[in-house]
Parts: sequence; C-alpha cells; structure tokens
Amino acid sequence: MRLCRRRVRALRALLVLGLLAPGLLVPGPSVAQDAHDEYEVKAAFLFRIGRAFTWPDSVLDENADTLRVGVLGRDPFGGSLRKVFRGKTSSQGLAFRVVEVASLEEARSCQVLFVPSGVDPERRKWLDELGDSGTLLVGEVPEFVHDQGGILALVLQDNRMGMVLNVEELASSGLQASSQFLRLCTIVGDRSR
Amino acid sequence: MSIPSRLRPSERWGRDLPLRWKLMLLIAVSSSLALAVAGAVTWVQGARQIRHEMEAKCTVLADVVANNLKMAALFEDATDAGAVLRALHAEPSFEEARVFLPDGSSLVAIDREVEEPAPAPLDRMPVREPGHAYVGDDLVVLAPIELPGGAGEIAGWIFLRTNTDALAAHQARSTRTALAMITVGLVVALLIATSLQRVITVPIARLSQVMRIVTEERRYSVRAERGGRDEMGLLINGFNEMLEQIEQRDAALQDARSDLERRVDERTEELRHERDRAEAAALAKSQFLANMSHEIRTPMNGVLGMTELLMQTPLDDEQKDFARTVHGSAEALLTIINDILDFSKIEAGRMEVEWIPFDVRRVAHDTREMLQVRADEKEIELRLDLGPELDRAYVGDPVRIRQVLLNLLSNAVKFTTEGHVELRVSADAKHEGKPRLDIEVIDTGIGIAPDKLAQVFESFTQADSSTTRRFGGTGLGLAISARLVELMGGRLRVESEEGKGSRFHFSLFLEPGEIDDTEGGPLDGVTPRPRNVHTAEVLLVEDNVVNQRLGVTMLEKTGCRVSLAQNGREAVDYCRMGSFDMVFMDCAMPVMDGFEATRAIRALKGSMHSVPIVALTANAMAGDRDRCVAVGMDDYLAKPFNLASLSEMVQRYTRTHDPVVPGAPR
Repeated sequence: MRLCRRRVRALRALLVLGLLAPGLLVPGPSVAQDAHDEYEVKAAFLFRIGRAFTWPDSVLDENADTLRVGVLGRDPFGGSLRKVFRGKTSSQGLAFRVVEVASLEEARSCQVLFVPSGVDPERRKWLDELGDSGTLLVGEVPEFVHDQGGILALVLQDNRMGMVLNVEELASSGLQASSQFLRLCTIVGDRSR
Repeated sequence: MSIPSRLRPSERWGRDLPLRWKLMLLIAVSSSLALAVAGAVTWVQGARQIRHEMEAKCTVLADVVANNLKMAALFEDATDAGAVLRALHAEPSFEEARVFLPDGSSLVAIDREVEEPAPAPLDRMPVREPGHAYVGDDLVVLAPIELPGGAGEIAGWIFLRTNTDALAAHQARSTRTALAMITVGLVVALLIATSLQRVITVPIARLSQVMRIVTEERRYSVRAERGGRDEMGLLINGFNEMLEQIEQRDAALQDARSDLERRVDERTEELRHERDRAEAAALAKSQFLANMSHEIRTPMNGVLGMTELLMQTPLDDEQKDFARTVHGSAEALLTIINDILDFSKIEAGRMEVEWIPFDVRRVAHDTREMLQVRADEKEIELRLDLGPELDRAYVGDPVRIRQVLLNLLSNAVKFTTEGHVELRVSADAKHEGKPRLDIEVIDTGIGIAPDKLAQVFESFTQADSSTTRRFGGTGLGLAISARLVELMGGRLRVESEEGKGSRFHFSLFLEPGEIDDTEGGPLDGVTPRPRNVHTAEVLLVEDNVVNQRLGVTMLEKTGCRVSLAQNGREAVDYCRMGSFDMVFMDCAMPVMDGFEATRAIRALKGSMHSVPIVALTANAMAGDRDRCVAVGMDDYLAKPFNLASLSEMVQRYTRTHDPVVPGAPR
C-alpha cells in the first residue's frame, strides 16, 4: 500500500506538471507508465470499495464463501487487480475472487463489476440488465454514472482519484452505502428517490 | 518529687505553657492533623478520579473519532479525515490530533494552536501502542481505526493529545476546598475546645485558687469545690482530705501549744509567787536586821557611853581594868553587828557608794591611828608609805575606803605576830585620763595557803575554820571589803606565801576633786579629842531615859550647857523660846518624831530656823541619812556613838556655823 501511495503521489505530481506545461510532456512510454499506475490506484480503490460495502445475503450465492469482483471485457489492470485482492477477505469475511466477465450470467454473479471505459457497446448494454441484481457497477468516467446506469465511477478529479456515486442507481440496486462512504463521494442523482 | 532540672527548650516550653493553652494546642494540632489527612485523601482521590474520568473521556473520544474515520482512513482521504478531526475543536481539552495509516505514516494532523502542524510518523509519537500516557501536563491516547466488519485488520491509528486543565483546575479547587475545610474545621474545633477545655481547666483553676488561698493566707479551712468522679475529682478530693488532715493537725498543734502556754503561765505564776515570797522574805529579813540593829544599838549606846563615862570616874586599877574590858567587849560586839549589817546591806544590793571630794592622806592617817594601839600592844611595826601626787583631793567615798583600809589593816595586825604591817598608798595621775589610786596592805604574818586563797573573799570564810577559833572575828571582813572595792569600781586581790606574809592590794580610778578645807582640822593627823574649849548651848532631844542621861553627861563632858527636850514638840517649843548653838535630835520619838520637829524648827522665824541639827539615830540603814538631809538636818550620828564622835560633832558645828556636812548635796 505504501508503494501504491507513493505512486499516486508521483502520478499527481506528473499530472500537475502536465497541466502546467503540456508541451513538456513526453508521449509514449511515459503515457503507458501513467496508465499502468492509474490502474494500480484504481485496483486499490476497488479493493477498498470491496471492503467498504456490505452486501445483503439475498445477493450473495447460497453457501457461497466468496465475493466476486469482475472485470467486464478486457482486463486493463494487467494483473495488479488480482495481486491486490489475493488472500484478502471482505468485511463480511468472504474471500475475494477476481474474475473476467464474458457473459451476462457471469456479470450477474459478480458483487462488484468494473466496467472499463473502453468496453464494447454490446457488453455495455448488459448493464441495464444488471440494474437491480445487487451488483456494484463501477466505471471510469463520470458519464458512466450519469447516463449509462452505473453506480460508482472512479474519476481523476483535481489530480486526485475521486469517486462519483449515483445514489438513485445505488438505491435501485438494493445496496447501501455508509454515510462515511457517502462523504468521500461526489453524489449525483436524486437522493430522495 | 524532684523535677528534672535539665530539660530541652521544647520540653520546658511544653511544661510552662498554661494548661488551657496546652489543651487548646492539643485540640488544634490533632484536629488540623485529622483535617489535613482527610483533605489530602480527598485531594488525592479526587485527582485520581478526575484522571480516570479524563482518561476514559479521552479514550472514548478517540474511539468515537476512530469510528468516524473508518472510511477516511480506508480511502486515505486526508480531507475527510481532517474534517472529522476539526470537529474536535469543540472539545475544550483538545490540543492535538493525528491520523496515521496502518504503516505508521501520517495522514493528517491538526493542532489547536498550530495552523498546519508538521506531519510526523507514528514512531515519533509518545505512545506507539494502543492506550494512554501522560506527557508533561497533557494526556495522550492512541487508538486503532478498525475496518468495517472488523476482521482484525486496521485502517489506521488515531492519536489524541488533550490538556489536563481540568485536573489542574480540580487540584486548585480541591486545595482551596481542603484549606477552607481545615480553616473552618480548626476555627470550629477551637471554638468548641474553648468551651470544652473549661471542663478540665476550670476545676484546675479553682483548685489552684484554693491552693493560693491556703499558701498565702494560711487558711486551711477552705475547701475546693468537689468535682465529678474523674481524675480531677479524685485530685480535688485528695487535696481536700489533705487540707482536712492539716487542719486537724493544726488544731492539735494549737491545742498542744495552748496547753503548753497554759502550763508555762502556771509555772511562771508559781515561780513569780515563789519569787515574791522570797523577796518578801528578804525584805522581812532586811527589815528584821534594821530593827535588830536599831534595837541593839540603843542599849549598846548606853553600855558604851556609860562605860566610857565610868572610866573617867575615879576608879582603882582593878575596877579600871574591868571597865576597860566591858568597853572593849561592847566595841567588839558593835563591830560584829556593823559587819553583819553591812553584809546584809551588800547582799540586798542596798549598799550605796558616795562620790565626794576627800583627802586620801587623812583617811590613811586616821586608819593607822586607829590601829596604832593594837600594833603597839603586839609589838608590830605599823608603817605608812604615802607616795607623791596624794597632796590633792580625789572624788570617792572616804567612809568606805576607810572601812576597807581598817579591815585590811586590822586583819594584817591580827594575823601578824612579829615583823611589820605596811600600808602603801600611791597615785598615778597620768593613767589614762583618770588618776589611779593604788593601795596595798603588806604584812609579815602567817600567810594563806595557796589552796585557800580563792576562798578568802567568800562570806563567812577564814582561811581555816581553826583560824576563827584562834583569832576570832566573823569572817565577814574580807568579803565586805572585796564587795566594797567592787562597788567603787576596783578589785581586791591577794598574794600570799604561807608563813611569810600576805599582800592585799586594789586600785581605784578616781576623778581629781577640790576640797573646801576651811576646817583645817585633823589634817595634821591628830584625832580630835574631847577638849573643854567651848561653852556651847546645846539642846538634846531624846525620849529614852538612859540615853538622856548618857547624852547629857557626855555633852557636859564636852563642855556644853545642855537643855533636854522629851520629844519633838518640846524641842520646837524650846527653839521658839530659847536660843541654842546646836540641836542633837533623836529620830524615833513619841508625840512628834525628829523629822517632823526638824521641819517645824526650819519653818520658824528668827535665828533658830537655821540652827545646826544633828540626827541621833539607831537606824543605821542606808537611806536614813538621805531622809535626815531631806527634812533639813545638817548631820547624822549613828547610835551608839562615843564621846569622841559626839565631841567632834560639837566642835564642828559650834566653832563655826558654816555647815560643812559630809554627804550633804552641794
């Protein structure tokens, strides 16, 4: 985790540098490096989210002892996600399991589903099907929670990783977030609904 | 009962402080000690409780904050964590709060006083394990931030630092409270003690008041007020009992003393009675002696006078010898009577000494003259050795000096059978102001044994009782002489060697005096003898027939023409009508005694009121002469008188009417 934090800081520093002097940015390998670090941070966030939420028994498999974290489509984490979750358990004592989701059924069995921004539209349609399945849908862009039916988005805001939460979608999914968690997120959607 | 004298100052202080203050001090010290202990316990317990409360509160606060920081820590969100921590500013004791990630790195830190405190890792904090500790005046707490669901893993640490102002405030407050409590408690205790100590000190004060009365006023009848049954009560009762005993003892002593006094008084009374009786007896004896002397002298006057007259009548040798023997015996008897009389006067303390100017040489000559005949009879040489400085008068008693000299010389003549008797008189005029008259009588007689010397001057003593038988005499002579010398301020001494002789001597300190020596008289050493040179008119006043005859005959022998009066009244009548050259007046007479008659004569007008009057009296006791002088008599002739003394009187008062009266006040 320490390593992870350090990288986040380095990333922030680079981003600040990039914003202040875009012309100095070197394309190519550095971009690839940034992308890699970004996903490591996102993997860490996914792990924290997995720990922050409590899933009702109804959405968990009967006599299941795992909590499934799925990545829709191609895995952008490059193995760091599995590394983060390996050997860890959720707040409910369930063992995390990272899976690649290739079908709707598979998607429905996941408690956390990461939807990368570059997922193909075909698979994105599955998201509508998963609206009330108790699956926490996590995306990468604000649009994901605004109009694609997503619940949570991990977004770089002001050089730091921020979370955007659609409380309407959250409520309709049957999941609940603690007030402490809500404080950490940018809230969208009508909370009263 | 001894009190140790060496005490430390504190002990002496503790000993000398009044009981009242000791009690007060005792109460004050013990109560303030108790209050101080109570206050200290309260203080400590209060402090401990406050600390416990502070720790609990701080721990709870840390837990609450930790619970509130779960997500912030999990997501390492410093902003949210900072927001949560800033809420702590509402807590007054809050000083500093920090959140650390599980790896110990700092997530966020806030401080009440520092805007943005420097981040510091967990291992630089004063506590690194969950729990609390005190750092300086502050309380620090470290608590874990547990993950939701709590699987043992933690999301980070919360570090809290709070001040202990509450504790300090509490301590200040409870100190004030304790001090106030002690002060108030002390005041109340002393107020109570002031009244309570009376329970102890008042009986003691009363007791010591009573003791003071007993000590100063010596009143043992007072009693201390009886107290209760405590130690004080016992003390007071004991004291009272002691007083009771003292009082009883005093009373017993008083009784014994008054009994003793009564007995002493009784004894004194008895003794006084005895003394009075003894004095009365002595007075009676003196009176008896005076009477006796009077009664004996009156007939002795007749015996001597008549014998003297008889011897001047024509007698044959044998008759002359008988008459001389009668005369000698009568004179010896008279001497003995005079000695006894003198001695009784000395013993009674009634012998008086005169101080008049006199001629020592004349006294010495007279004395020798009187003994010359006896010395001649024994064929002893009688020497007279008069030193220089004697041709002047000295003030003393010539009669008594003559008596002493006569006594010593007649003794010397009596006890000397061969050799000589010497009378030495010398004067040392230069001796310490008063001239000293030294008189010695030396003989070559039988002497006195050394073991008898001391008794020589005792009454009724001669050196040997056989001496009395051999030489006669009363044995009173030396005793009387010694007493007379003492009366005149000297001391009669004797030195003697048995068989070789004796030396009696004494010294008198006498003032020099002037003598009115118009008489001329016997300074030539010649004893006046009856000479028919006058034909004087003399009045004899005498009631006794024998003495009338004697007096008339003797006076006629002297060459006087005699008129006889039977009593005082006749004498006064004679004097009023006739004229006389002098009067011989008996003192004790019927009708009118000599004293009254003299007063009456002295009261007459004309020449007779100053006629010389010579008393004739057998009352040869001291005081007679004074009495005679007091009523106005000129002189005094004791009975029995002889022709010579009567003749001398006549000569003295008829040759010249100048009243030179030995013994009359000048």
